[in-house]
Amino acid sequence: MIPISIVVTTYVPPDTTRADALLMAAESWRSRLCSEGFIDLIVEGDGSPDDAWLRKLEDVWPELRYETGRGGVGASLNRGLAKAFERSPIALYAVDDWALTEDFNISPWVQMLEENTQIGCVRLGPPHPGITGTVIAASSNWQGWALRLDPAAGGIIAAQRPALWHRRFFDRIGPWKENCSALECEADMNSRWAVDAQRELLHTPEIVLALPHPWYHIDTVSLSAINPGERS
Amino acid sequence: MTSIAVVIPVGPRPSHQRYLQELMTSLATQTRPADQLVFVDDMANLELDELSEMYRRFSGSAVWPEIHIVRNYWLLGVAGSFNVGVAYATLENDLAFMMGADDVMRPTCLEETVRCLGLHGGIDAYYYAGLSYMDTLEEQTVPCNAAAVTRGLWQMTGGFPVESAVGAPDCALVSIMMTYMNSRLIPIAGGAPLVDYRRHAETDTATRGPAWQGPILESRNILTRDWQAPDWGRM
Repeated sequence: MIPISIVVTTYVPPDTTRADALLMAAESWRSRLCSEGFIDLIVEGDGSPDDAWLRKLEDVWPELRYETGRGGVGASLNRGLAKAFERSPIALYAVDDWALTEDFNISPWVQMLEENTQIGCVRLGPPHPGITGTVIAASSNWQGWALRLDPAAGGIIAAQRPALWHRRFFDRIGPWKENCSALECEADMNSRWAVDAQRELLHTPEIVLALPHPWYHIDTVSLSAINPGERS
Repeated sequence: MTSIAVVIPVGPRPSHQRYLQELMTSLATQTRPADQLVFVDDMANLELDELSEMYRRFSGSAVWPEIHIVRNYWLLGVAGSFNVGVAYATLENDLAFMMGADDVMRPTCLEETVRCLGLHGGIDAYYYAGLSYMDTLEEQTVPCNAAAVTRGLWQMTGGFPVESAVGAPDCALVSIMMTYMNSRLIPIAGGAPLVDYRRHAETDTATRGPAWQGPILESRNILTRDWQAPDWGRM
């Protein structure tokens, strides 16, 4: 498997618990993400005024590249992914308040992106209401499934969900919309992808949902489930 | 809106609980989650907390289905436990999907099942899922116990005949339905594989061995030949 970078976008306002969530999530990636190689962690701070949290993050991830230009989540994503794609065609986008609650071997999903040129993204995170698709791969003796998502279902591309992205997706669909809200940024990307799928079904990069895996929004799980030190 | 429960009998041997985590993981990652999970505790001594934890580990949702444990007072076997579970689950749900405790559901299984009921106008039927064998990935589309049923169907047919305790719980009922009400055997999603079936040395079918094949088929034939609509049952 090729080594990849982890990209995370964040914005940490002063006097909030956002940094705590990020540090907790980053610790879970460090301890529970099993892979054959990560190059580094690329953090896009989006103009965060206080970077005391950054020193703590460096303790967790010494191989850290940080930048804090302001421009919203779309600009941060574009910058972070561009840096990651300089070294590898695949990047892992890890969201700052999504943590791993169990060990997760990401290598098979990276391999799937490497070997299947029609796939542009492997989305992580559980299915949400309204999402649907077709099972395209089930492993023998059951390790999980790959669900090819239906563009018509809408709401599939989420800027705030972890995902493995291949450079070919953005080469085809274009970059994230900048200087707008996260919601608008997601809606724009979903819309462009769905329109492309209607026009050129054979060439539009597919998005696949990896199931199952233990990557969840911190609000939806108990803290003891995230902190490896407190696991039974 | 259609509601659906999943009915899972769990027997007393360690092998009956060995794969429960994988089943719960598959239930927690459904595109259309179950409204209720009904475990029929066939002398398995299940713990609600443990089952909840198994579901939680891979569920990103803060809303979980209700988990119910129905405890048999004595060993009933697979067929009897499915009957109990279906009767219980359909008190509050339109559909009861029957699952083996050692199998797993594919992510769109429940979504496709609910859609299938709607496409057929909600008729009382045996909505069966196609299978894929976990070891070989070979696919099978014939009716088996991996199916969703309505309360009306159970009242109409009597469910799995009590004689099905000899083995292969679905065998006699499917045979009866093929003979007397074939149109109510409906493949979900055209028979596409929606359940991954595990073959292992301790499955009920494997442990009974060839000696039971004769009695199973003989009882199936007698039950099919002599079948009459039940004149018993509770609404």
